[in-house]
Amino acid sequence: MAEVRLDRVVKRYPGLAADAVQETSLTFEDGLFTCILGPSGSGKSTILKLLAGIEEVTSGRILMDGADITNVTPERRDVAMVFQSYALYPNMNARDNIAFPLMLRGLGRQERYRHVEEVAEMLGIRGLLDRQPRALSGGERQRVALGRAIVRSPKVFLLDEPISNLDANLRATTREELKRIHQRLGATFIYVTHDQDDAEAMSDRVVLMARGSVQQYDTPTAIYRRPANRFVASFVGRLPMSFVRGEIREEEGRLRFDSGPVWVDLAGRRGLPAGPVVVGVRPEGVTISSSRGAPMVGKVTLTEVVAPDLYATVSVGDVSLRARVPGEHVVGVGDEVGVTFVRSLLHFFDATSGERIVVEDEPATVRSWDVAV
Amino acid sequence: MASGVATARTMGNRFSRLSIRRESQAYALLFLVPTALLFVGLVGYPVLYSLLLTVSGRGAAPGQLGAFVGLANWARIASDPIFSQAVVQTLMYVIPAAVLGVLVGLGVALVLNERFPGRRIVRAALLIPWALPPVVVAAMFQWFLDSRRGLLGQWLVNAGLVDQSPIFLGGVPGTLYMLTAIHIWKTMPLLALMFLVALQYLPNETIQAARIDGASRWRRFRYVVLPFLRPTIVAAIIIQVLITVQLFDLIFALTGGGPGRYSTYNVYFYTFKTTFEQTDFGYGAVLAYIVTGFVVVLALLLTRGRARSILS
Ligand SMILES: Nc1ncnc2c1ncn2[C@@H]1O[C@H](COP(=O)(O)OP(=O)(O)O)[C@@H](O)[C@H]1O
Ligand SMILES: [Mg+2]
Repeated sequence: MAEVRLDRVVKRYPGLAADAVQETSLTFEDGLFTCILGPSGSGKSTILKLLAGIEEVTSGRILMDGADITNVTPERRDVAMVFQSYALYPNMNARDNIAFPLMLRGLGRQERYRHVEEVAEMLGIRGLLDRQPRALSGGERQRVALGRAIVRSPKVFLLDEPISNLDANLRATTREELKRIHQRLGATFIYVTHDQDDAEAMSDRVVLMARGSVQQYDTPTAIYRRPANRFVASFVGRLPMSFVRGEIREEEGRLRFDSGPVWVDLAGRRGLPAGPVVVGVRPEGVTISSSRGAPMVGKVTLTEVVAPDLYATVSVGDVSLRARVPGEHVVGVGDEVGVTFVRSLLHFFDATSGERIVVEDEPATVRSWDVAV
Repeated sequence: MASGVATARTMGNRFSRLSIRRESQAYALLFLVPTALLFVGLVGYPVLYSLLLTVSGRGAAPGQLGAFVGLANWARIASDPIFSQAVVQTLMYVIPAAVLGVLVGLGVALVLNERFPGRRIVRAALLIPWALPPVVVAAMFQWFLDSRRGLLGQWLVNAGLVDQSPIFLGGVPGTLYMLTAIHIWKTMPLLALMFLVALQYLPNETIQAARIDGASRWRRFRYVVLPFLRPTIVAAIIIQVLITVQLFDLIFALTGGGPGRYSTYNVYFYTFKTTFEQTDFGYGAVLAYIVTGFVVVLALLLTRGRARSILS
């Protein structure tokens, strides 16, 4: 078990204009499953390589349980890593691949293989142990690579997109399995992925990265419900958040967001400064109803099914809003519908910096499925 | 497709009535004919002719077939001391060249596989000995090893290791070893290149995984890199043996087979001497067959047995 800390770590590759990792301080909590989530090229793998020691920091320190391990070689750090390519040893069968770390630690053959059997049992690969890596499928290789990490019982597991190369079904079952393994081992897991489903399904914490810097470090639900900036807001969520650029005005003592045809009465919401702002709203924050008598009316331009839900994109003037359609409704392209917002699900972002504007009465937690539609 | 056939017909193509498969086979044969003719003319004929030479006595002129002598030429092998000497000396070239050449080549490849400033330049420079024409290599070493003005002798003297420049190309079997060393110097780049190419196919992450698993540099080499390179090592050894069995130019240019009468002969060189200097074409053809047979067997080993594992 270990807590791992990055202390003002910077990583710059020679010949690259931008830092792969900009100055970052971050604590991976002991025993938690932390996902590093972000688009390709955002520096996720680089962080993992720095933690493993196979890349050196340009500046800053890495601490494990308070001890400075910045200059400790990978051989002597108690971390195990699973690569996206699995990186199995091509000339050893699965058994010896898994046993390799134990062999290096001087365990006898019998004892090594006994441990391998245990781990293989846990991963359901006992029947594959005599195979060479090239005779294994992607999913099987992934398991062997995982076994090679587990067998060491390391303090820290580093996993670099270990399931990205698997098909969707296998990915789903592997997520459950990884979660179970994490619970069973209780070790610190640091898991790199570009897939938010991974983060949602497994993690206790999410580090959201973009262009080499941490955008938000939070629980997966908080990342979804209180995105720290527009990047996070648009990266997370099955369907993109709708953004509306407009202005907050005070009229007769009441706050109101205005963007031409789209407006929202913000009465009762404090902490919102008057002036230009971008409002973000996820589909579950937009309600559609019959157009009759509705204060705001739009036209359906697109419908999408993301089972079990139906989503409609509605144009209100020149603003496009994606809405989740309540179960009993049926809408089609071209329909006129009334549009209202769930005010508690609106996000406000600074019009220039894109940073979240924290609203004072922001609820501590709102589960997205709590919202009546 | 139908219209394609129709067009072909209207154009009067004479393959048009054949199926596509047959048609392409027919074309393939057609294109093979010139090559096949060349092959028969340039390889088949000499092979057959030299086979006839092995069973004929001296002809009217060098290289012409003489009277049929049965296996007499072949029988000479058994009682020819020069042949036995040449066989032993061939091994004296081949074994160190294969062992040391492959070891040094592997070492050089491992070093050049590391990241260091100027690696590209060193890699390019590595190939120079292999790229040099043999005659140039011979001339170069003749100067380098010259007992009076040679650089090597002077270096040794200047370093205080010897009082007087030794004679490098004069002793038995020292001269043969000197030739072997030059030969290794010249062929090692090829072997190193083979290993370098193979190393490119060992993913960096595999080595990194071994590091993270706790493997020291030596153990990464021993348990990951070396097993991975094994097929390449086998191929390199076979290729080096092939090349070294056919070592000729250095012997010809540097020693002419001496010192003494035969001290740097190998079978290949002996074949040349017998055939073209003593114009004993019958016995020369026998020797040529022996060398060729050996080379063919090795080449088969290389292509049949190992090629698949090297490529996979
Ligand atoms: N060994 C390297 N040399 C130079 N640049 C690198 C190297 N590894 C990664 N990079 C660069 O660093 C940035 C971050 O890469 P990486 O951490 O692999 O991203 P991610 O894993 O999030 O996709 C990218 O711009 C990438 O091109
Ligand atoms: Mg990556």
